[in-house]
Amino acid sequence: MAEELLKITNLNKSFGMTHANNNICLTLEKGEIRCLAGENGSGKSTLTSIISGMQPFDDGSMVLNGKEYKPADPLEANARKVAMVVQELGVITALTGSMNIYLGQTDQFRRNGMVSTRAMGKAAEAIFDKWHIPKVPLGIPCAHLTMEQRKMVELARALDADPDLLILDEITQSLSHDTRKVIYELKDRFKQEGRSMIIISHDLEETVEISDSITILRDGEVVETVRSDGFTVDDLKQKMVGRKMEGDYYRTDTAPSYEESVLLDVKDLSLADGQLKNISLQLHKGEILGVCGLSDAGIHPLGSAIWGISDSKRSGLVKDGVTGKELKHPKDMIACGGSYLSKNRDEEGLMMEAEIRNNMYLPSMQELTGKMKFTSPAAVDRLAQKAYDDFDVKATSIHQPIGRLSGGNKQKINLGRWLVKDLNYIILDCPTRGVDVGVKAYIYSVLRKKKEEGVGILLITDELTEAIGMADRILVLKNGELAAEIERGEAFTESNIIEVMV
Amino acid sequence: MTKQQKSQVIFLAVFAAVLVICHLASKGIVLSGSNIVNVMLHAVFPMFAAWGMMFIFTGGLMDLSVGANLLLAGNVGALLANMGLGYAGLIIGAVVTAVLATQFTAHCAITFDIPAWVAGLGGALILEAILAQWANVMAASSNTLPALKNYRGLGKTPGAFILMAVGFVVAFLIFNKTSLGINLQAVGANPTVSKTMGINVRKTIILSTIIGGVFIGISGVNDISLAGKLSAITGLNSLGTISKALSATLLANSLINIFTKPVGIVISSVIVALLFNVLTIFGVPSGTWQNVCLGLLIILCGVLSHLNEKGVVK
Repeated sequence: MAEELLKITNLNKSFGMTHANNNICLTLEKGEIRCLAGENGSGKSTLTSIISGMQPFDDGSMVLNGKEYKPADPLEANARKVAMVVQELGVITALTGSMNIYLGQTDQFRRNGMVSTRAMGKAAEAIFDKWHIPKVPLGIPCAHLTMEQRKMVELARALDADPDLLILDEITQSLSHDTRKVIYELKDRFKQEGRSMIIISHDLEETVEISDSITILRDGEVVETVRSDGFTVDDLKQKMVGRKMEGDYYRTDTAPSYEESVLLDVKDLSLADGQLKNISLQLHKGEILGVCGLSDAGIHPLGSAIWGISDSKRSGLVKDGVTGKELKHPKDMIACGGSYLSKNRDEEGLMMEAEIRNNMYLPSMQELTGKMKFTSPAAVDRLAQKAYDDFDVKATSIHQPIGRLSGGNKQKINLGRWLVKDLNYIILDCPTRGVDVGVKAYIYSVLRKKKEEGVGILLITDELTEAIGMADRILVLKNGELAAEIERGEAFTESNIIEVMV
Repeated sequence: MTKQQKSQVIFLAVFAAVLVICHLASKGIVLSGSNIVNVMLHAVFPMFAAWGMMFIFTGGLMDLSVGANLLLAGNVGALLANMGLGYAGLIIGAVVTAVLATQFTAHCAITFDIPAWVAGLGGALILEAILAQWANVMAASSNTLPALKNYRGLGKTPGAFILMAVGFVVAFLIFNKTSLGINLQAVGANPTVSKTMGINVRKTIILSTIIGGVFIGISGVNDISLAGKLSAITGLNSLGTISKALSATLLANSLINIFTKPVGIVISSVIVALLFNVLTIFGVPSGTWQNVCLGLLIILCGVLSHLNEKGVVK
């Protein structure tokens, strides 16, 4: 029988009236890869944050390697060889990568009272070498790194603790297909070396595939811990939501279905920094056009470039298919019934300190402004309340600050505030990143409904299954160029797309 | 040569070229030895005040009581110096006063969880009132606030320049090369993440404000050494005392892509002092057009330093 690494017994944690973790019992063996599954708000992140020392538990007990474990902070957890990479971006953008890796532990590089940044840089690079993770520029402020590179910095920080237990909270959601492989290889290495991992992922296929076992949580309680062998995604969905999921997430038809009329016409779109080169595409009425590619393929810059908010200078033509008007700025796009959801929801999409209400009405501000340029607070409230109700947001009211909501509820608001408008097309960059199976199913159902209403959807995604499941056509980008266009049908397979991507 | 080093060389070359042009246009006055010494002497005070603000502001505390603080600190230092304690009294008196005053506003902001600018303005009013009351008491006995007649070496050459060199080394090392400086930058950027990373946010802010207080105390010493006497000001007019230091801070922030903050403050303080000096030589009226020129310069530096900034490096 394998040796026990972590044993959690009757662990409880409450936030005011909310019982986030209720009598959690969990045992993890050495060399075991455990996934935690559950809807948003089921208590997964609370549990992992307790294990990693980010917050204390109310009562219960934890035993690590046979000794009582009650970390006061992440550094104490690191000292006991437990480390975690958190769900949302956790780097200080003003500091360099190496400073971020050793933040709070810079004293180890102190010589005569001064911190040797050179020694720190060398040590940071050594972590990347040791664990074979993709190198990132460590000497420049993290503000200049991509989201994926920042995640690698966070991962390196966690690995510096030489952890026996590494917790990854939805890290793969931020990573492209190729970088995820690095995580999978890391997982295999952990297993070989008798180290353990706890992984949270909303990609259920991934959850079943990469884990040895899965602990399912619902409403703060452990529903069941199962072995992954022979356990299916459908089984998992059912256990997570407590009922049988009706039908499938995705479309079941096998042929493209959209109208001929073009809603959005993009010709020879390029960015001066080379992230995009001569991309041309047409988005049709009622079409879901998927866009896939590896991390540097340019899929995410494509969305922001079409929307007109790229940092780099844009060339080429973006035209509204109905009016023929050239679209240069977000204002032009909004006037023509366009909308855009960034992948980086918390930094580029939502105002985290503001109320739900104020986040909700932003895209509709023009419609709500009267002739005298005044906005009626009652009209704003009505609109916000409608979107709030329509999208079944779980919060105390429209006046709750959005920053305190779960990822799924934030995304409902992020998407819902656009969908209350009369739209012609939507540019979605990873719309299901960080949301649970229930919200995911809901978002897909909304997109299918919008498709039926004739809305064109440009679906940029890191999830091949999502693109295959939802799109009429898929554009595959490689090194900033359009590498292939695949139409829904027999050729619509992961292997065909990956072949073009790599 | 890195991109940043290239930018530094270009900036300094342009700066030197502008100086030479001004020198020629002023018929040899701007770069004359006596004028350069004069400019540098007037750059020391805003430099120390700006370093002090750097340590206080970076942690997220926008404490605007700095002006009132250094006026009071300079006067306390002068009082102790005149009581026979000499330079030791001058420096210790000013520094201790400034540190206590910064701690007052910092603790108000942190303990009562009120915006730092509110605590700072409240602090400024209180400190101004203390100094004004002191002046009133002195006036009642036909006296004035202490004038520094002796011990003025730190306001003239070479004392002021030695002070500046030591201040620069200390500010640079603490801000860039110590755990406290790195932690301070982290706390200012994101206190939540910093706390998660094991940084003691409160301790970091308090220690940084203590260091900031030391620099402000020294700026008070330099100011009273240069001027000989610092008068009481009320009605938040003490903010005017630090207008050049605030300008230097703004300019240093504009140059952040070219120079680290402590270095940027040195350059900015010299530029601000030079600007006013050159404009005065050219007969530009002070207070109006000189400030317009300063404002334009800050904007220009901000635009130039961010010109080729990329959002993302692959």
